[in-house]
Amino acid sequence: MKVVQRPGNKGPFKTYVVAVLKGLWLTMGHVVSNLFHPEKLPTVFFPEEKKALPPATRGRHRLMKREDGSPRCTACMLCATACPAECIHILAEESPNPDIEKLPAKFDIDMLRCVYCGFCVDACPLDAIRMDIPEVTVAGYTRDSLVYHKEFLMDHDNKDVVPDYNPPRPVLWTHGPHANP
Amino acid sequence: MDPNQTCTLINIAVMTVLMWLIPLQFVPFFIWLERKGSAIIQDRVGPNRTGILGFRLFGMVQNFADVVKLVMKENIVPANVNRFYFMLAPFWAMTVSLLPLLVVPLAAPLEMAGHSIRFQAADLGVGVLFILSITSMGVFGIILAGWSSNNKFSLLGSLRSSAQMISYELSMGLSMVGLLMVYQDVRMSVIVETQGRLLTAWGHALPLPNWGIFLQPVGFLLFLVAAFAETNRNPFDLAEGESELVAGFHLEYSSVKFSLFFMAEYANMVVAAFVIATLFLGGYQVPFASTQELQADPKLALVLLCCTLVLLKGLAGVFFYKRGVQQKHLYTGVKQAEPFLFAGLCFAVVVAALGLMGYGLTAGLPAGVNGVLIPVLQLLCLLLKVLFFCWLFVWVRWTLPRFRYDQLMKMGWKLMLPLALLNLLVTGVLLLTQK
Amino acid sequence: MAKITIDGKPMEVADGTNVLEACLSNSVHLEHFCYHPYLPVAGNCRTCMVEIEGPKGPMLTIGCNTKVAEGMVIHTDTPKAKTAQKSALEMLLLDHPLDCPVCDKAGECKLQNQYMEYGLYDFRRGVPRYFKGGKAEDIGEHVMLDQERCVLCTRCIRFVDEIPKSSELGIVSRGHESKITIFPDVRLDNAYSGNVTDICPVGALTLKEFRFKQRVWFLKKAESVCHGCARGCNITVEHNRGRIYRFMPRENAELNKTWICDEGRFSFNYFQENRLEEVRLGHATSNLSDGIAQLANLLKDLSPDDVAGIASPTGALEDLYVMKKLFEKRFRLKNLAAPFWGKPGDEDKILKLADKTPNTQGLNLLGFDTEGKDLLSRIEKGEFKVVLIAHNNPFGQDEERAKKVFAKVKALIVLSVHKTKTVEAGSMAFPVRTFIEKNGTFVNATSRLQRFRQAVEPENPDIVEASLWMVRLAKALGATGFDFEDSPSVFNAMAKEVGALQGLTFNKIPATGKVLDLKPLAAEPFPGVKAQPNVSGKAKV
Repeated sequence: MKVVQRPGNKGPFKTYVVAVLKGLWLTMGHVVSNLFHPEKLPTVFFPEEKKALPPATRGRHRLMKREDGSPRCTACMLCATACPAECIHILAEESPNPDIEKLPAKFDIDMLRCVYCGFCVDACPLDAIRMDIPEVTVAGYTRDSLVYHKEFLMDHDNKDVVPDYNPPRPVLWTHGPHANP
Repeated sequence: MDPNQTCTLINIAVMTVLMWLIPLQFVPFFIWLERKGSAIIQDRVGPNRTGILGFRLFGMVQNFADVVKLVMKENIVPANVNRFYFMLAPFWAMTVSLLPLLVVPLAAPLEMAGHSIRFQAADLGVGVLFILSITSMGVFGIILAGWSSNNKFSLLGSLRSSAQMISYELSMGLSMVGLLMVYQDVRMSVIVETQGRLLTAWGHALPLPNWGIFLQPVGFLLFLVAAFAETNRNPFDLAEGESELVAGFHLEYSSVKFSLFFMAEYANMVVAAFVIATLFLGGYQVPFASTQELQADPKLALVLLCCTLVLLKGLAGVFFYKRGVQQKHLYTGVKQAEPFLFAGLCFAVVVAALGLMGYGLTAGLPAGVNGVLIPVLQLLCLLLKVLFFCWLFVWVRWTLPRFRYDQLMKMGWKLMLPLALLNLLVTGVLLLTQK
Repeated sequence: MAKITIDGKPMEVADGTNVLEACLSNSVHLEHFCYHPYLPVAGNCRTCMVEIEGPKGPMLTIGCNTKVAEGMVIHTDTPKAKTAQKSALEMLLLDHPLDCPVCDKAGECKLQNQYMEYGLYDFRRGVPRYFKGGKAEDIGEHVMLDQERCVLCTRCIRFVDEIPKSSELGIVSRGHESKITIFPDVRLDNAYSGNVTDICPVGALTLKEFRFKQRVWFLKKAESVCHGCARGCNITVEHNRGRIYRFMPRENAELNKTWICDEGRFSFNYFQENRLEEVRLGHATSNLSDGIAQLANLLKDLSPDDVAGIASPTGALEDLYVMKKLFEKRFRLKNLAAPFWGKPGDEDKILKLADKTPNTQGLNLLGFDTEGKDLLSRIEKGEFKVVLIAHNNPFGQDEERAKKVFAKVKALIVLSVHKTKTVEAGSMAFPVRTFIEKNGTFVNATSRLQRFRQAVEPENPDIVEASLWMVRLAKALGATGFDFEDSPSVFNAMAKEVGALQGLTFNKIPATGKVLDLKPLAAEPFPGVKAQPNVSGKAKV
């Protein structure tokens, strides 16, 4: 058996005095520099100060809108099918426009169940659901308040968060109202 | 009754109450210091959110929140505990932690209107020995808590910490013996009085105060380390240990009983700081300005006091102001104004102190005022020394990792005990050569 | 019998079979689309192209409209045949909108499946698609038509011509503009109109009742039997998260083929609406254990002669059996009957029967008195203090008579699925399960013993099967011989006692049912329609 001597464990080091003093010197350095230059602290004062999130952040969901303000979603439920957390609950209804056919009467996302996997975004054939609202503070006081409804999910300006950010999508419709742009 | 006697009784009563209140008042401050100190050592900001009406006192309000939380919590007494001892332990710990301060003098006695006002609750003849005996009782609180909780983790934690305290008590006592040999007395008031002089060695006066730290440097170091161990403070906080003991001896305690342990721990440190400052750093003595000198020159106390205030408050004011400027864009209203308010208060004190000093130096102060200023100055001096040791406790805790248990024991018995004995020998030899 | 060769393998098939059926019957996969085993052959989708060797060499022809002949040599997997099959599919998909995400058929669409199995080519159309127009046309009480998705297989036209013989549908226009439509001033309102949506291979015909309600891949399925009338058509209960979304016909060549009437198809809501959800003791609600205990207390002090029972043909065989056994062991068997209170409904020559209860023949099998006149008159005279009504709803169906009959009864114990008038009239009411929520058996009018399986579990555990409720009551009353855990165990015990069921166990009942030796109450369905298809269960219906 080979005994490995710990370094610095002999002689005056055995009393730890030198090491202790070195440590104290180090921490005192931090104290002094932080006392006199508090602005150099890396802390972000969160609710008041917010860090900019990277452009491709997978944030909160939103439902995209058509030009007339109606949801782009056609309640095909592919997102609900793809969802591993089963957090999307859609109730479809007949659209007044027979070319669109289907509309979501209810589109609820249970944020307490959502695992932010983004499968719904990938599954959507119409780019109707996106997860690009750069918001990481999904919080609420009741369970009900964390079930996001259609109206809330559509409450945005319908602009691209990242300009010219167009993820590649499969071409499903070449003509008609659902045609990919 | 003799009016003189009545006065003395009132004096003692007031001082007793005061000596119980001072460490209690130090506790929240100490906790704040710990939190902010740890934060600043680790490049963090520390508590700065809790506030009352927007006043956050730089995180100090967090302590109020803690108190509210602890008091509101359910006071749990687990089944199958020894109820009497279980209840007794936290009170014991708290009481014992406050007691040693009774013999510590806060300032030199003040002669006023024929009465001598003492700033010491009890000038016991046994003095230092009282402190030693009381602190060694502290271990009972921990043992009782750990044993009566009927929990193996608590018991293990209390066993560890009691073994540790007993081991380090030896070197603590021995390091103190050297001091007593130098001072030739155990009475606290005498020890402090002795430290007011200048250091003389073999007949030569040295430009150093006659403090214990200079007389007994090794003893000071041993005492300091032993004090850390006695207060179960990092790097000797083996009574607790999240990974191996859950929470240690106070695992089963909740609510007010837990808060008593918590406060006792900090009160212990405050008391330790007072004791170290008194024994080794001259207590209330202002360096190079003994009580006699202060009494002789009526303006010296005023100048020293005002200069200290200007220095301290000026520095604090600058810090407050800087903090306010730095965070100005973040907040509005009270939150924004608060640092400036405190900076303003500090600067007001600075101005007032300067004004007082100017008035005193030019016009001279009324006769009785100088006598009052001396205890104030000395108390301030003592508090500064105590504060330094409080900070040392925090500083060391957030710098050093904790010892392993075998290292702890090895250090206590194999390193500190022989060193203390050697220190005694050397002290004795040196004392002999001085004669 | 004709000796033929398919893909080099010699085989023998019956005369009159067509080539497609010959292939499918002999495990040769041949894609097919417009062919339906219970409908006449139209041969218009052209996807079942095969090569048949003739005097001029192998010739391409469709399999479904070619009858087999002695010595025929058929190829299904030559490159030519494969190309023809694939091209036919490509042709069908040429103008078909790829709106699968919004199409309700997606998931059970034949075209979708066919493409995934046989197509998988790249889209080749170079010119813009032709839009037929006409989305969401309302063509009947239950049916919506989407012209764009229609591939003109004419299954629906053949169905309305053949089964209800009402012929509301036809093809108008020509070429690529041709489309299926209803004739002017006619609507698709026959009593079997829902079936056209089942046989529609694409999403052209959809049910209003199911449209947009649920995607089919979410639906879980349970084999069941229709509860609507004494015919007992085979159905599949399709449900998700405890809710029934539709009844689909289940193939049973000997009974309902692949059809059911609209009345039965849309009865699913009846079983999830207006349900009795809690045990009612007087005006107070309670739980099952307390209810049973209170009832047992009440019955303990009475003599066995004081209790009468009214069963119902809506109960499953197991419920009736346990009730009979309870009266046999604890009370008097003569005080138990199953009188019918309702009026007969409408019937037709196809499937619907006038008797709107599923298990009248089951009562006959167990020897119940289905008239019960004697018992009712004795109840009216006040001979009984307690009457136990299981599943029956006298107050709802004939309130005046019921009030007269039950006027002198002190306690009316009601077991009911719904909040009926009888529940309100009763002094104690217990919720029980419907046939959707339990396993069990019915015997239909043509004496066919059929099994249904549980689809959903009720949320409230106090809702139990009537048979198990009787078991609990019997145990509370101290009766022995009621060691049943579930309906199948009841059935297995019953099969040992009842002669007609000898040798059967619950799991051994064939999927299509077993005809019992009882006098039929109605004629066989579909007079004049070919009884057996040449290929059953192997063709994609």
